Amino acid sequence: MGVVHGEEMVLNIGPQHPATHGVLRLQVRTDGEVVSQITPYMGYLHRCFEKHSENVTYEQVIPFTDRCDYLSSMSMNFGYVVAMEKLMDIKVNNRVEHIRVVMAELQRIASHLLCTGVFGLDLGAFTPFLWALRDRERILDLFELTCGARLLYNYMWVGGLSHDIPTGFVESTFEFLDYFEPKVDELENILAHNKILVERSADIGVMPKDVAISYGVTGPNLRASGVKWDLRKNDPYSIYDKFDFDVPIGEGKKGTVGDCWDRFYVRIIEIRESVKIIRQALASMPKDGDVHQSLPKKLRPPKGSIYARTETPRGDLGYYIESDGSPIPYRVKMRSPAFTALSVLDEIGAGWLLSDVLAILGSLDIVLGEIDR
Amino acid sequence: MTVDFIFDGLNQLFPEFAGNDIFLIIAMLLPVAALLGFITVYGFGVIYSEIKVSSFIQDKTGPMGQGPGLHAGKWGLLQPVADGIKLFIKEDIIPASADKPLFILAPFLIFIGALTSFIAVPFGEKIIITDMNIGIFYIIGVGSLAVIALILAGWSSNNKWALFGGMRSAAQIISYEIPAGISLVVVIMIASSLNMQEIIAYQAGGLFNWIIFDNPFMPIVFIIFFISVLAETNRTPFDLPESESELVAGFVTEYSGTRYAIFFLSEYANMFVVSAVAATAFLGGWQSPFSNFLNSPAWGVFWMMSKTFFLIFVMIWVRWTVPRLRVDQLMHLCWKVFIPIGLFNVFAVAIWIVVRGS
Amino acid sequence: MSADKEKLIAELVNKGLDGDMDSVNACEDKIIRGKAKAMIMKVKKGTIERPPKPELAANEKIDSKTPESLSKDEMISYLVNKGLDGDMDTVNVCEDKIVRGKAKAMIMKVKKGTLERPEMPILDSPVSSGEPLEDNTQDDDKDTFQKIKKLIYDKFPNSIIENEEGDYIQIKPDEWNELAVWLKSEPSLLFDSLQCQMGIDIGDDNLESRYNLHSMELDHYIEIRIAVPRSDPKIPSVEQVWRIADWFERETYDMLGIEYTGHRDLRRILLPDDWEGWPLRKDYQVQETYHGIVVPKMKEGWE
Repeated sequence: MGVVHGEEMVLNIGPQHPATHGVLRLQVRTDGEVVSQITPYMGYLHRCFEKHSENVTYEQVIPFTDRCDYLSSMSMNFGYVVAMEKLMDIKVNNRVEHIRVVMAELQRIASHLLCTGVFGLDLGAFTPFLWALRDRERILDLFELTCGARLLYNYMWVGGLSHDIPTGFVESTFEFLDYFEPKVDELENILAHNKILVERSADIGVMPKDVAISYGVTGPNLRASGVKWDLRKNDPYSIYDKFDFDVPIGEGKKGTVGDCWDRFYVRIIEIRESVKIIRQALASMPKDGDVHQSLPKKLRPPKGSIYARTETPRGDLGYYIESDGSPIPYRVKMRSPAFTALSVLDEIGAGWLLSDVLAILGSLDIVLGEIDR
Repeated sequence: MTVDFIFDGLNQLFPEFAGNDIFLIIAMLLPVAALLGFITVYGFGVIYSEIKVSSFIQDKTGPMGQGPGLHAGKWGLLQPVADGIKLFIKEDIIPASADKPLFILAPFLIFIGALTSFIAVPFGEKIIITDMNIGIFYIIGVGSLAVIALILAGWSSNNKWALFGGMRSAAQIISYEIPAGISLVVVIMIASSLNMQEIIAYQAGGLFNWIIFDNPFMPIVFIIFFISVLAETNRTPFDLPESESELVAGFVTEYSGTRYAIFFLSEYANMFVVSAVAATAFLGGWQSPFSNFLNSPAWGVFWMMSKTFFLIFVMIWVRWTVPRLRVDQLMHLCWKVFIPIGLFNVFAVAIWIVVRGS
Repeated sequence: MSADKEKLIAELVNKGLDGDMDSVNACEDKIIRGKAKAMIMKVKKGTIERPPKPELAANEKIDSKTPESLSKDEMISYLVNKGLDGDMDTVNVCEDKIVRGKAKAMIMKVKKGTLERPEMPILDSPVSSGEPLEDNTQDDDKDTFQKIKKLIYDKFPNSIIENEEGDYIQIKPDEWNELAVWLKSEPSLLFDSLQCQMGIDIGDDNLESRYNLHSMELDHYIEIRIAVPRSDPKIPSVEQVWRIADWFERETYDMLGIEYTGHRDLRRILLPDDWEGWPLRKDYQVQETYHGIVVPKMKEGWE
């Protein structure tokens, strides 16, 4: 029995489509339902982040970073301030570092919750998505308590934070974690071990190690391919070297290492690891310390350039900042993890069925704001 | 049955016009009007329960308007009504490049399929519009009309997503009719009749006389039947023809307003029909689960409705719990799992009947 | 507390008591520094006796300089030498399977006579070529960088443009593709990951393409810069070396108009195909209208 080939058809997925997670256009060539080629077209959300950055002061870049990855704004802030502090050689006090780590990890949980929920949604399971959103709301409440904003925070500043955490934040966070931990198991039970979901995601869209590295894929997607690579461990920034946590990697429990199920499951375990980090950070947080202590009077970094990387929920976020000694950046380049993750789609997605391509896209966890910048 | 009943009643009420053709027309139209009314009320009810059941499952409140007026009513009771009104007063859009006659025909065709199936559904001991001798066969036959409607909708929209949806639904519904049919064959073998009322009459005498408990193979047959009709009505996990996250909305992508509402209503109407058939064929129809207790004709309607709505509830419950299958897995399940097991069941039950003796 | 630390403290205390407080203060480990200072105070007060000066035996240092700090090639030669001298245990306890395998193979070859015995790497000299590439401290970063630079210089002497300051390697565009292939495959470099590629308008009529390379296996970084004239910005593409360069180069092309020769699919990526100009060049002028839509002018500064 041979395979019957029909006429090829060009299909546009997007720019408006329920499964593209934003405004992305995928031009796919299909033979029946089998996809033979995927060409992503992006730029629909291009807001000239890099051009804007060359026209505003260093402080004013931070709100722009918020808007790049609007699902993990804290982590985007974090990456920028880490880069700036390296460039200007600023040391912030311990309390600031602890608060930053707590915020970044809460953000990681929120982002992974959304990702796992949406992955289920892409496969047709609606309920886990709403469960995930319900718990994400609690995290956004915590952020709102801290800085008044629920989505775009502008919370981390170069040399400090915009506000100290309010009274009762630590208690509320502990309370949230106690509530949240059983919910992760619930989410895992309804999704990860569901027979249909396993059938739909195991062995699908396998991304081998070397492909992942060559395409610059980072973060949970790379770890799902079996590479133990996490900047929080391998190149610790801030105070991540103080905490005890594991870096989960894909083990191919339900299929092959690096399949959709691994990419999805690594995120679930990472949620648990983040909970561990938050607990440690909250417990060891110094009681006193001014969050504005190290704020420079004027942000005027010395002439030079810096490339600094941090681990966001989506992978290595790099900022390349070129300074000419003036208060306005000469060039800011953001190396966004979702950009590299999307580039691998054609490599691992071609040859699968249309439904699988959307599952693979969902498992890569892209945010268009960050791809288009 | 009901048509004859009304006709006779009219003849007796007005003996001077007895045998008038108008009486016959009235006797035919009255049940249809009643049926339409029932479907509308049922539609509101089932949409409301879909919203509320999903809300309970998803840990949210769902529509919770309070008081009359512009809100959605207390506990959101008026939400389906508001949705309905919204859909019916929406602008009716037909894409410029669509095949207009077919595009308009498709929703009517699917609704006709759903509506005519109701004719043979036994609501109670006496309440059945036409008690035809091949009732169960008739429902399967008319139910397949949906395939034509879905392909028409997918093809005439002139939209690639709709086409995908149409093709998927054709493959899916035609395939799943086979295991569903095979399962009903087993029932027919046991009850020795195609007549809905006779099948129910066979199950008289309490819970353990129901066909589902007739022999050890029947629970399997019932499960195969239920899953197959789930696929036939395009419900999750078999909602591939309209899979929202892949095909945008599948065959209904280009439909809006009234036509869309009709597609939706037909889906829910089909749910009722297949649940009623399942209740009839396996769960004793309007028979009480207790012999000689609550077994009057009025209670019969209650039992029939409870069984049907329980099955509808299970359908809703499943929908909000599991993800969706992929198209090849769907076919695999049908042709390589259900049909062999179904055929084995036919064989095994046949031997069982012979050995047990009738 | 380990014996090493105690020795270190004793040494510091002795130095401090001899008047060399600078070396005490220069100690990076806070705990050791604190303990040493406390002990100095106590000795001065007379509550405890001055600790004996620890003998830092030379051979101890050599032993502590474990073979783990060697690069892979040197590790292999080290193991081969040990093995040939009859010390096969050292070879067998080596954790890195590849290195162990290679070393064993080499021992066999040397014994057969097909290969010459490699030179024993020098262990006790810290400035030897055996300086580890994996270390993370700042000085070592510099050394690693210099070492990588030297390696590249040896291989492609015509490509490197000498520059004294800065922690990057400035190269000419001509041989960039071959250089990239070599950087990725050379066993002592193994730059398998292109972290970031960006373009920048550096003024002086030059555009620059910068590559941040990283080796996942050996964990070291370099930054490579290639400057090209604004009038004819052509750089060989490395899209087929690191696949991510495909999109990175498209983005740089999109924003700065640097043409990557040999790129198989060089199109604009974020901007529309018919957009005019290269927005991130410093002399960029926004087009007046785009398909009849007035393009808002960039404001000077921020209001």
